[in-house]
Amino acid sequence: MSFRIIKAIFIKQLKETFKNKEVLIQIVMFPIIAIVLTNSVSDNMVPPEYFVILFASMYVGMTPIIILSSIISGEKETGSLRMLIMSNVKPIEYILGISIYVMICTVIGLIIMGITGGYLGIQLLYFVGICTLGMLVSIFIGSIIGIVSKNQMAANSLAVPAMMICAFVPMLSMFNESIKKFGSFLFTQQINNVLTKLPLNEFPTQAILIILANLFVFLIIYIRLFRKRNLLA
Amino acid sequence: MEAIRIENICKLFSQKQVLNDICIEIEKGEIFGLLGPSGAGKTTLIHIITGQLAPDSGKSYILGKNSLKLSHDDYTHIGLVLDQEGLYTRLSCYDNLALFASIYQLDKAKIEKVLKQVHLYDDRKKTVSELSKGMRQRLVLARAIMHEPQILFLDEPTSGLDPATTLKIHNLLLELKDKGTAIFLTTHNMEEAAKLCHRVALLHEGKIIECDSPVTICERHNDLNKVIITTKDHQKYILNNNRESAQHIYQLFQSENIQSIHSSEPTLGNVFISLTGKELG
Repeated sequence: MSFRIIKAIFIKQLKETFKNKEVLIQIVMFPIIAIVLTNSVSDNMVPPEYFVILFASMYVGMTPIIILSSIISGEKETGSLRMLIMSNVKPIEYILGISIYVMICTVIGLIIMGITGGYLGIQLLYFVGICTLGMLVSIFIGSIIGIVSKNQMAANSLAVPAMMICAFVPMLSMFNESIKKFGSFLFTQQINNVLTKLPLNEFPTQAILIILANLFVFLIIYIRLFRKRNLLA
Repeated sequence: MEAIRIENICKLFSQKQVLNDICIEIEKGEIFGLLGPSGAGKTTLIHIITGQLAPDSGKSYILGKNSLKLSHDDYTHIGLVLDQEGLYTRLSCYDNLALFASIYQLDKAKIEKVLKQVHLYDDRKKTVSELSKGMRQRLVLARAIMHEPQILFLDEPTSGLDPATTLKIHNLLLELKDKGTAIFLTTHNMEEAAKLCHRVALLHEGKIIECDSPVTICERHNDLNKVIITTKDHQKYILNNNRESAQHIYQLFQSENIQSIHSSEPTLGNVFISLTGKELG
């Protein structure tokens, strides 16, 4: 594996950021909504971190899935991925280059959201850390969808339901007990739980273990699929 | 050692024999043309040779290495112009090449050199989406040759391009050939094949029905064996290419009335039609 090639893929993706509106919107949308709502609603009505917690779990459950599945399947569709693989780029180098790009962009978004929610110092670190863990799970899900999809349309048909489950279950579980039960196994729900308790300086170990279990499960699926399937298939 | 060796390749797609017992050897510094109508199996053969597709039977080798066992490093010896451009349409010409320059560990001077070679240097800052088809095709070619590969695969490289762009690409290919690059070219343009290729193979229904130099193939199928003379007063004489016609031709020469003399050997297209009953294209 070559770091030089991973860096080349990362730089290519970075150069495309401001020209690819779909990706750019996904990266900036949730931090901007969180900033606008936090600053437009009076402190007496909701605490400052309310919208940040709500949108952080959506950001974690939506953005990496959409971006990764769309980039990988889009490159398959246009044939650029084929050209990379036929030019000495290993599939793992390509996936890593794209994943690091998504991770860095979303972590910047998370830092902005954390500051907006009034988190500072160790709380901000904890906020970013726990959300980054969730981002990793979503990156694996997005990569899995990108790997199994032949084109962007096929990827969207998988990414949209996956993203809706991950992003909206934490919100819907506030209104429905069955969804709440299902959501207790889901990493975004647990991120929501951890973030809710963050202002109280509580660190629920069980929630973190469930997030790690999610990470482990999707990592195993990802590795098995990556070994079994040709990225160009 | 041959640049490319193809041994008895067969490939079936849904019970249809796309390639049937294909055998080809291509030397370094040779331009080899695979001629056939659309759907004849030309692209499939490129995919098999470059290891993107496994044949049902037979083997192919690139620089002595089995195509199915090519490592990622082996691809640095190959340049590809495939049926899909595979360009990043949101990036500039320069950035498209810069990505591959990083992959191949080439310096910036190499990017500028290859952009000049394909006459795109002045357009290097344009995004790919702003380029014409001909310019995009030249960019694809630039990407394929920038690392100076030993073997270049070109799948219909001038299809749909204007004559000026086609000429530029032809000149570039001839330069590469002179430097020792083996070029495997698929086309249904007979003139292009006759102009560029040392040898061509005619592919019909998955089988190679002829394989030799364009001149030899045309001579071999010159069934008419006539000499066609046009005079300045627009009279046309079609004479047998033998001793009996010599006196007649001599008289025409003496009258200083000859405008043109042509032999009657067929074009590659005529040969293909006579062998298959179908047209190329």
